[in-house]
Amino acid sequence: MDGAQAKRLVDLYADMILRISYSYLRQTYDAEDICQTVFLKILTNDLRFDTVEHEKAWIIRTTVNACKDYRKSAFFRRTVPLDEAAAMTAPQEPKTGVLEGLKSLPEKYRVPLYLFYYENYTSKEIGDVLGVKEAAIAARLSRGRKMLRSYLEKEGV
Amino acid sequence: MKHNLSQEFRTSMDSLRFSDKTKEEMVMKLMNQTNPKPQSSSKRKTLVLILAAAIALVTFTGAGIYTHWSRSMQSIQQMSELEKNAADKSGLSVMLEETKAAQPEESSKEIVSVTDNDITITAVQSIVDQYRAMLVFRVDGFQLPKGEQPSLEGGVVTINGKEPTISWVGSYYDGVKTQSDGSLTYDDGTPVEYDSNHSVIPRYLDKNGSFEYILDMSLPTSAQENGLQPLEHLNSEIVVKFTSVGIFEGLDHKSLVDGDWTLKWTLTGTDKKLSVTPNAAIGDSGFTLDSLELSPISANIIVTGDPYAHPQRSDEKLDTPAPRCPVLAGFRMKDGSFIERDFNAVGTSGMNPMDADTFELFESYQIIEPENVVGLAFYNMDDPDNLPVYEVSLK
Repeated sequence: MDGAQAKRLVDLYADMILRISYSYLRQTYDAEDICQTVFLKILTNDLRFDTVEHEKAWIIRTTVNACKDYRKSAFFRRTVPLDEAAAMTAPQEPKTGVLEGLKSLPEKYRVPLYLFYYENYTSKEIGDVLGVKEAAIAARLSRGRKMLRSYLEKEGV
Repeated sequence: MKHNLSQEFRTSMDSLRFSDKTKEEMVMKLMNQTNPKPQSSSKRKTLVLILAAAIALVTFTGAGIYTHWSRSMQSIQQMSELEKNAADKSGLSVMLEETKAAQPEESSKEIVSVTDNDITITAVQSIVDQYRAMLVFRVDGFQLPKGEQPSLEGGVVTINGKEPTISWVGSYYDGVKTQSDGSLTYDDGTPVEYDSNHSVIPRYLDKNGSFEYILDMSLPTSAQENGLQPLEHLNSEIVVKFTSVGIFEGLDHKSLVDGDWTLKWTLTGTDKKLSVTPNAAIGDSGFTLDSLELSPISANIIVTGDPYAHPQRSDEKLDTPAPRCPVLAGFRMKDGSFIERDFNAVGTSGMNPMDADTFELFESYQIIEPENVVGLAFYNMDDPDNLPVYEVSLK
């Protein structure tokens, strides 16, 4: 393959995958592996999408599934031979009140809040992407927002 | 204070990004993986070693200041001064700088402090048991630019002359504690301060301008291909080499001062352990806690069961079912207290390729007395939102 498709995917979606996996896993170490997992699925299966929106929705869904796989099979861990580990630097997590608050929320609120606030998705779009009913997403967003505000007020941030 | 969640969310998330260099490497890896080169040899078929991943430091409660220990360890380890003294006396914890200075003849070949380009890196403290080592290094003389996070390049070169295949996590002590009630404070107990972006302002530097780096590594539980045996690290020479001191730029190390800081000393610790064979069911999970070895800062746990026996949950839309192995939640102690395991520390786990129903879990945690553990708790991964736990008695 030529590198153009790989570069396009990385340029367009790598940071989004990093942010979703951070929202889901509450750390950034596994984000690069999750990027590889998601992009390889597209590249090795030669997946094509009708629109960029479809492609983005598929990547979000696959990223969340990859995060679930990671958590179940390894629970925030990954294989790192010494030579790779020596070259590895820990991704720097911004320590902001909002992100600390996000990390304090249960899992089911975190990714919907990210998609709502950062990707500007509606409840319906989030529901479609995550395979959850729109009403459930609306409830999670409402509850999640309250919990986040409550956290920030309690912390005096 | 009024919050514009949308704006604060966007500002915070904007700063979370891969560097251009990392993205370039990502593209190269994708190209290599989709156009694979012939492999000269098969990679390891033994247990899959898995590295725990995180840099943040652990949750801890405020104990009295124990001036003898390193700045980071006196905060991270939730122990009384009496317990810290006991850890010193048992040989689990060693204050390297002090010990080696007090034994000049024995230590003549040992180098625990090196100065190059006006920067001194010193091995300050080690906490070592049979399967895990925590090494604390202090860096003096480095002018950390305001608002930056320090970064070191380097790591373990050899143990007993052999290049080990080990998993490790490096972290920079930022002086911020999460108290038991969830609030954040600095290690002197004062509340943390936030910058204009509501980011916690870290305090990497001690009053004298130094910072501390913690190298947390897992050690072999079985013989390695290079010949390194379990427990061989105890009373053997360890060589650690750093080649650059700098800052984090994005997600990458940016060198500000290059040099050669090669440290070597005899690694000592304790081989104290508690071996138990409970052969007891882990609740109704379908898994059995077969056997375990508990040491002061690490455990090796053998669990058996069918990893594919769990039906896919309704909220999962996986292409292929993923194996689900039990995850240690923590320890029940004799006095009834519960010690959570440290998800940020180094750790390994994996399925045995010779027996797919056997899991070997390597776990890390703050210092405990193994003989005071009366039970183990595991998360029920079928309910990830609530994560209820199963407790297994060791009686």
